[in-house]
Amino acid sequence: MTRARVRHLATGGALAAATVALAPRSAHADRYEATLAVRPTWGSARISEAGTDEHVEVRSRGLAASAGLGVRDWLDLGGELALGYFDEASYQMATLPVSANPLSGPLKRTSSTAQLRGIATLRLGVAWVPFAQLALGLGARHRTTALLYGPTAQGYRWLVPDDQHEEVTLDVVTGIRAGLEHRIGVHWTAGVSAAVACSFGIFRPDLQTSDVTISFSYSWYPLLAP
Amino acid sequence: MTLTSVTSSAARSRRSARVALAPLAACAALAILAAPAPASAQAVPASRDVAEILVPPQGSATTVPLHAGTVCILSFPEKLAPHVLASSADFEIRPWGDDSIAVRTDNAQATPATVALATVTGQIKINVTLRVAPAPDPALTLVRFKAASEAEAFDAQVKAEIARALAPIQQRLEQAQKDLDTAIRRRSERQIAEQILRRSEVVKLNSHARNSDHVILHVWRALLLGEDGYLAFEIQNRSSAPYQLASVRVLADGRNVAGHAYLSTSPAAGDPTLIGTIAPDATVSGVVAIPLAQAVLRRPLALEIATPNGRGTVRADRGIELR
Repeated sequence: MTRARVRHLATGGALAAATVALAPRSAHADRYEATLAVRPTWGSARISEAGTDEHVEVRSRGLAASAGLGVRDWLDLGGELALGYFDEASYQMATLPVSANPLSGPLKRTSSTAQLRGIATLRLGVAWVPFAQLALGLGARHRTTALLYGPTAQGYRWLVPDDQHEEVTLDVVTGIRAGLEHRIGVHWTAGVSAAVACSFGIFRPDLQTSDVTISFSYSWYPLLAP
Repeated sequence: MTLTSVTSSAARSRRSARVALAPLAACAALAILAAPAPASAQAVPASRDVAEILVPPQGSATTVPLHAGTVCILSFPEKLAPHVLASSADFEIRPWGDDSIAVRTDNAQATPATVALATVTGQIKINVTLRVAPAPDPALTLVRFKAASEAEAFDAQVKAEIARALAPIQQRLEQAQKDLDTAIRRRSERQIAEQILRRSEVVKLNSHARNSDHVILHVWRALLLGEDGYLAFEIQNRSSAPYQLASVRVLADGRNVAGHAYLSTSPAAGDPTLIGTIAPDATVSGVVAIPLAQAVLRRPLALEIATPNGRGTVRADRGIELR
């Protein structure tokens, strides 16, 4: 009986005991992994304004940045900051008071948004990852001063309707995104996706948006407290 | 006809066989350590109370142990010659068909008797010594005699002698092995107990890493046991191919301080170079030992796993520190 053999067996026994004592919890892929992503967006928005029933579609572009953490192999939770800029919306006919006198005429206004959303991403793959994402959050909508083309003593001019000055308003935002990502390596992922969202204006008209985007993300395992 | 004359003639005939089979006999002699004088015929045990005896062309002799009151059949492959010579009347001898005889005695104190038997063709000539065996000793109830060449008979004789000589040695070896296992286990338990008494602490860790093949390494905890340490980890294989684990290294300042590593799955069969294999979509737990872990306390460690060709390496190098 050699000391080496005794030590080997003791080590094996201790390892077996340690395996039981230290038996880790079941882990899941992508769990514990953090992800930063950026996403330029192109799309359209459907905007309405007070004084008209018309809904106008304008082009949009923007940028979104998100951060998430895998809480399950199939679920990421995180947050997203999304900025959107919309082309000027022109309405053929609107009726709004100007100096308390109702005037009718073409109306134009430009909007942009900044939104902070909480996102939950359902992930359905490993290398190729189809995903669906739900978003819920708050947004700030910046609207330029509305201009109504109406008659004046000097002829037709662009007038500022009452209570339609430049402003920043609050929205409640909800949306859904679906797409496909491909993990390129240990850290990098690229993907494409499409989304629809609705910004419910608080005492202001709603805003519906849709976009397509490509995304690039970087993932790593952050040092979290054990 | 005496017993002495029969055995002498058989012994003379065997001498030529010994010369022809000298190498085999030498091996046999070495194997059985102290070879006894060769028996006259070779009994090959078929079961506990049945024996098969090979008889060389020149004839042979053998001993058949019997229990008192039990019938033993001596069976031959062909018809027996009508005359049977027996040296004693203590044993009752009766024909049993053309090719067999039945023998028995009721006298437990009967002295051994010899019976000379031959087949009609003379192919088999055998002198059988009947002996009463005490009840606890093995005895025979059926003995089949078969004609064999001299070489076959001698070969069987050598094998049987080797087996008989090795049996007690084998028994002693098995007992020694059993004692050794018990002793080793007792000493191992004592060593583990001593380690636990010196130090037994669990250090929680939370380190993760992956490779581009979607193999993920999770390092969860460490156990400090005496002067040794153990790292508990999980290997999660999300790829479509099995991950063949060949090495587990624990690096401290670039130096490998790992001891043995084990997986919760059974070891890789047929390939001693592998620690284990993790099937696609499977997660397997493992432990790697760090002998004399005191030397690496409070130093950053890296846990690295790899496949045989060094590819598929996953290295978790953050957040692993024994304290």
